[in-house]
Amino acid sequence: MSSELKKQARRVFMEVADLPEGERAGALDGACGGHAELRAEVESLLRADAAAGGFLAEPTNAMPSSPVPTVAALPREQEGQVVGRYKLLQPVGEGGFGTVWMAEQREPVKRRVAFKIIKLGMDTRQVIARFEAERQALALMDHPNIAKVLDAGATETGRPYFVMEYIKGVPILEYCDKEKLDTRARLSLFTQVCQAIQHAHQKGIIHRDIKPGNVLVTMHDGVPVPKVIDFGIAKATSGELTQKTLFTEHRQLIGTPAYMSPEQAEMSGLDIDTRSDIYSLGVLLYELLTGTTPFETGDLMSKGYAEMMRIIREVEPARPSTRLGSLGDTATRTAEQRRAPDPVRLSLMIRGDLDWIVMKCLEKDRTRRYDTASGLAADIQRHLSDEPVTAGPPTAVYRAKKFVRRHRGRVIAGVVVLAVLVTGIIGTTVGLVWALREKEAADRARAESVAAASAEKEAREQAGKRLAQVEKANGVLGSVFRGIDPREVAESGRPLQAVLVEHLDRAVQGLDGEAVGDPLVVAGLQMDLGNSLAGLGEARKAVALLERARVTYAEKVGEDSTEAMTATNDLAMAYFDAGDVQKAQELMEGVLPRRRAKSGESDVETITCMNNLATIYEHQGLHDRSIPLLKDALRLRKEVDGTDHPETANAMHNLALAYMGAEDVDRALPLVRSALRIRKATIGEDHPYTLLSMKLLGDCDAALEDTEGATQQYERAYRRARATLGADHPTTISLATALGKQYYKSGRVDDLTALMESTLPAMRSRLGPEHPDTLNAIGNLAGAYWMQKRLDASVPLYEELVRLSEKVLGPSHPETARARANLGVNYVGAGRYQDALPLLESASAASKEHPELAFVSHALLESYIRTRAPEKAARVLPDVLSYIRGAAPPESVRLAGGLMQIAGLLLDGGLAAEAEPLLREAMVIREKEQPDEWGTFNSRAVLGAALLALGRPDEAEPMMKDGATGLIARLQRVPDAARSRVTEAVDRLVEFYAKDPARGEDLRRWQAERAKLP
Amino acid sequence: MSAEHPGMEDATILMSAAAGGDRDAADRLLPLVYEQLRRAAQAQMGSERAGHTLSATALVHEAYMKLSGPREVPWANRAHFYAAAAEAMRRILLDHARARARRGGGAVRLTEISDVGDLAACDGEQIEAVDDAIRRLEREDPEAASMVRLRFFAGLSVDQAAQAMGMSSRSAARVWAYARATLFRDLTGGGADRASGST
Repeated sequence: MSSELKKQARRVFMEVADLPEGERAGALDGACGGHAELRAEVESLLRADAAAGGFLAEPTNAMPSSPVPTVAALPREQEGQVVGRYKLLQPVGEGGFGTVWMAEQREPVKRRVAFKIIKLGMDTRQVIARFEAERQALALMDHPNIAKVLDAGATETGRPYFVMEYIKGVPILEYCDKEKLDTRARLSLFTQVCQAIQHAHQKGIIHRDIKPGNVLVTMHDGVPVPKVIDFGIAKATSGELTQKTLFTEHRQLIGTPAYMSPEQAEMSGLDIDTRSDIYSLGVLLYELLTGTTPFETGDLMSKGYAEMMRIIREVEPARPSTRLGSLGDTATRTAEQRRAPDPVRLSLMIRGDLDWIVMKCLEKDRTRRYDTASGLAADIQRHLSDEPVTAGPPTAVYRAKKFVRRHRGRVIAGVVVLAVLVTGIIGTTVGLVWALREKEAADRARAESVAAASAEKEAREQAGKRLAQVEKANGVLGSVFRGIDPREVAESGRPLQAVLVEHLDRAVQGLDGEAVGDPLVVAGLQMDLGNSLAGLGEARKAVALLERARVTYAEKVGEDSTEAMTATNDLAMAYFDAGDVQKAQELMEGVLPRRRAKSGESDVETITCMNNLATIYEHQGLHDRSIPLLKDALRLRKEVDGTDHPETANAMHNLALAYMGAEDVDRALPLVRSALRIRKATIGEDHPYTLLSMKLLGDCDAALEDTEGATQQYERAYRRARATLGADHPTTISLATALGKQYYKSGRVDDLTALMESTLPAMRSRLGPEHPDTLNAIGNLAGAYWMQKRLDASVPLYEELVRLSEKVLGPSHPETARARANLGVNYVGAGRYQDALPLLESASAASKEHPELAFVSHALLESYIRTRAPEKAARVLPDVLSYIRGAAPPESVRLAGGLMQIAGLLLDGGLAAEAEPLLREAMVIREKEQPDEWGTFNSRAVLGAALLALGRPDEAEPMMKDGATGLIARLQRVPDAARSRVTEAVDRLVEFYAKDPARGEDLRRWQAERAKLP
Repeated sequence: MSAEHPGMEDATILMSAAAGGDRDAADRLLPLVYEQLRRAAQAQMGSERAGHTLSATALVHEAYMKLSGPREVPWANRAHFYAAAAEAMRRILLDHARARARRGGGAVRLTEISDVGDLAACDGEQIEAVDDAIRRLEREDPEAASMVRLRFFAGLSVDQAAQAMGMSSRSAARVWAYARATLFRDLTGGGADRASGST
């Protein structure tokens, strides 16, 4: 076969191979023509194609389209190698992540350090960035049971490393078993581990990878001291995305499945908090007690990935005592290792308290775990001193959180709010228990030094007292939720938010009345309740609470304490929310330099302060002050949190807002888009912040005069806001205001009315009746009613608006004048001329200075006519005409319409001479612009009437006749509202002819025409 | 690890050099890739249950990751890597087949060979036969042969192969169909004709 033929066959094959069977023959005929050999070759190929079946079928799974990080082996570092400031001395361990070396730091101080090199497969830049983000927090940790992480960087081959305090110790389990520690001694060590974790949580650090290998026991003066290592490393090396990618695409487990909390196993990386550590502590305790983990690592690994994750998420592990009973030989060995006589006895020791304590840590639902590590430690302490433990019956706070869970979906609107509260409570409890731990530490120290029974008793009493305070404080917080059943609330039709505010108020009263005792504890509660109230839009109530908290902190721990500065910040923002901008600015300008001095510029709290101060400036239109602050804040946020962090989105949004304020839409638009994208992805579509970004995008459209685009954007956001946040949430209100403006602009009166009707009550109650936005909304709704000719509704609203404006803005404010003018016009519409006159006269007088009020002249003219004051009407006529000529284009149909209206009024007032030129002008315009329209003939008819009134019947008659004839001919085209014009025209003719007996025939003819009209 | 062992920097440099038209770099890429793939494949084929777990996709991807590190390299730049990987994989299979030949091979029907894993389970003769068929195809139609190598030995999808070869996905699919049909006909010695003749 020639190669030429093969080439041809290849071409034809490719053309026909993917055709349906039925079309092939035809295509082959066309392609091969009469070339039999070619056709045979192609057919042979097609048969081979059909017969090939599985031969070289699709590769089983195609390659990922982009490289995915993977954990892989790399050439090892050598002993003696120098990396940065560190010289590697000898490898001391190897883990899933990499190799640990003992190393020597050479500068600035010479010391031994542990040097942990992470295996290839991590994005080094991100690992280090994440570490840097936490570095400051890590530096704040200072605890005898925590090994400090000192440094991080990248090796020459681009692998991340971490440098830690070098601990010469063995993993806690190994130590316990080697030393055959009994249960009590194990618990004592474990309690110290809890305190270390508590300290970290206090500083905002979550460990994320607590396991025996990360808790080393070292000897200090003959006393075993546990040291928790690797803080910050799990976070840095398994940032949310990396973690997820690694899990899903490569099925490689980073972290240790046996110690992994259910929420970690869910891989919803964003959702890990301190309670994940509590879970891991529970696993560690389980293992210390039984010698095994709740789920055995080997077992888990053999199950396959998905099953493993399911087990961690769903399967309830056996209680430690039960597990011991089922372990057989292992249990015997476990018993031996801790000098317990036998497994049965050991199992009995563990049953009860310790079972409860462990199982409380291992709850799948983290709200059922201990809130804090020291809560866990305290329970163990209680067990050791034979006091009843808290593990077991659920608490009030637990029940409150629980109902939200139970009714999730039914109370979405409430959940957003509740989340704020629940977070607040966790923070408080952490604070409270921190105080408790400090106290306990002091007590313990005293007990040890005195070692006297009386001192111990005293210590316990002290601790008991403190515990009572804590319980009381928790009781106050718990009362917020007590008795709220979302289902009942939903059925009662009251917004959950209102019920919550009510309960918060009650909690605040409880705080005043019961006097929890410790002023700092009270201040903490005030902060939480205050911020919760502020979060619910109750800024004024929040101010009162936060002010007291700030004073307490300033007195007790100093103006420059973190607590006092946080309270000042929160207070300033509460003032801001409550509308006292000056006070807010004063406080914030005071606190920002102190923040900078204390924590540095890239501290999160400092950035928050910068942003808040900028917000305050921005509100006052001080863009030149706000924009530089916000630019700095955005830059720092990107450095600290990364580009896709919700906080970064906040900074973008705020900067965009400032640009919008400065009318720089071009700079604002890309920032808004980015912020919206990040917010949708991170905090969800329904979060108030996301909705605000949607609003801001609408604002951009509006600023670019894209009414349609702005309307759509606002509508989308408004619907979501109303559904999820409720009608009276500030976000919903601000969206309604913005949307209303667009409706007004595009003349969507009905939509505007409906929107404002449903929003106004919320604004009145939430913003207060005197808030500028409320006034604006009242004006909008009243205007909408006016446009719908619903004067019964518009008049009372305008009356209210005038009253409020005079009070809030003062009688001479332009908005007040406008409100009065509008009310006057509405009175005229309602026929209340006497009421209208003073309003209109003052507005008319003011219109020389405020031309926007000139529109009243028309209503004033009408009032004069209707109150039979034609001289006054004639005097105001030039104003009316100049207003009309200003409002309508020259020689336009609109101008003609306006002139006709005025002329009609003038005729009614007997001012035919004044009316005549207007009517002629209108007629000329209409004859030219719309010669065949009914209006043109109406002009003629009315002009005829004017001429008649002026005593010029000869001129009048043809005009009247011509007008009436034209009107009758176009009767079908006359709108219903104007039909009376036709009958009036005919009536005038009938009246005209009736006066002259000689015109009987004309009279009869027009009477007949009149009879045909309805 | 020996000093000659290629570091990951080397491979990426070579990859971009090859993409820039440096033939020499493309040639030097092969030993690096071969070495990586051989280790990985050996680890899988060493165990007796080897055959069906061997996936070109996984192996080549692993080799790629090891050589390039977790960075994004444009597909065009990766083309030389995959060409090298395909060639390396082919050699590995042949080596493997020769080693197996002494122990006697399996009996796998031609229509069941859909992945290199299947081929690895074949006996030496079958592998040689497939390899020879590809060589014959290469002499007549280098483009079709490249397609087979990238798809079969480097485990690329049609789209990925299209990108690596700088053609549209639609053309790639057609070339692939043609190559497959040609190879199958060649290997069955016109068996397809007989098969169709008997129906």
